[in-house]
Amino acid sequence: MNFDDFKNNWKSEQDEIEIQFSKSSNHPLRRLQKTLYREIIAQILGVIFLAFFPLLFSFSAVLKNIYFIIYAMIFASACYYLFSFRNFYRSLNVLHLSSSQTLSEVYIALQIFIERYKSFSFFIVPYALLALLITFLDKYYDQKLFQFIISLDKLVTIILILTFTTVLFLILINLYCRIVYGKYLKELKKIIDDLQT
Amino acid sequence: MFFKKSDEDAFLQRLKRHSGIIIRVSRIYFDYEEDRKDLKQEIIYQLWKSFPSFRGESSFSTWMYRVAVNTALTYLQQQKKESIIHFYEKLPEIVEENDTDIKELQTKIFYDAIYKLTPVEKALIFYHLEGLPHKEIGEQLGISEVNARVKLNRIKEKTKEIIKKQGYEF
Repeated sequence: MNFDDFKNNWKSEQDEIEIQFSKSSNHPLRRLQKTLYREIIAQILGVIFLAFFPLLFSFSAVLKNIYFIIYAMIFASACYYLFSFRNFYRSLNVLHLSSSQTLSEVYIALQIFIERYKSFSFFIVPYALLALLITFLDKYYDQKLFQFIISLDKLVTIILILTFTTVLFLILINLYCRIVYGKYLKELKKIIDDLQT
Repeated sequence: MFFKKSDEDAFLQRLKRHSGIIIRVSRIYFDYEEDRKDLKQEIIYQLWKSFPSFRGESSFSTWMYRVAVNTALTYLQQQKKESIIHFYEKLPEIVEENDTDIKELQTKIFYDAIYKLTPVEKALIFYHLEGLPHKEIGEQLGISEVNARVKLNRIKEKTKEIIKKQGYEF
């Protein structure tokens, strides 16, 4: 038995194939696209939800204005990020290229996406916390807000809580990216290395 | 993504003509029938999704090879069942069997060795068995012709070693 024998018999091995079009796919790239799609929707809803904060928590007129000035800047940045996520979503349709190109394109696109995803989340988290803080402070507005802010021990407490919560979120975002996307990235890297060595 | 009925018909016609590619890619990547079935469906799905990228610059089969192999390479799916290792204590009984039985046993031994290869190695062996020259194998995989030849020789040696470890000559 040798390779030539198998080569000769190779194409004679045929069985029936049932050609069915399935709308669902279990391919990792498709699963990634689905996850991404759900996340984009969740983030859009999240950004929209933040716009209703002043209404939901009955902000005072002054704070409402401050809030919306910050929100406008956040909204512009969020649009940029969501647009880049959309580009990544489309960039996964590359299976018709050579294997090396396909693997590299997917790998690089995925790496860029993860970094953008992290930076977007890092950017949104402090803002969301700030929004919560404004909501919290607004409750004290009628009860001498100024005095509350200048109280040093309370200010230190707020700074500590905000710092701790931000760091916690950053760790969770990193973990999430590693669990959801990291495994796939690692596998892809292994295949790319195998192809290039 | 919208397709006309004529696009669908053209696609199906071509797909049927070259359906052997899908069968053989699935065969070389998975031992277990259910895994093979899943991969076949996945390849058909990806072919249909990638069909707008087919501009006729290369033959349909060349394009199909790429999509099918790239789908298998990036599939990263573990086999649902461990591939059954066909280990036979000794060969003499085969002598009494007919040619078909011998061929079947040899095929099983060969596939068992193939299933121990990495996804990239399987892709190279697949293209080799399909009869593609080194230059074309290199183009399909995006590596140089020399690299394709070196890798292929290395994989052949590796396959032979695996088969020898099972107690057979190759």
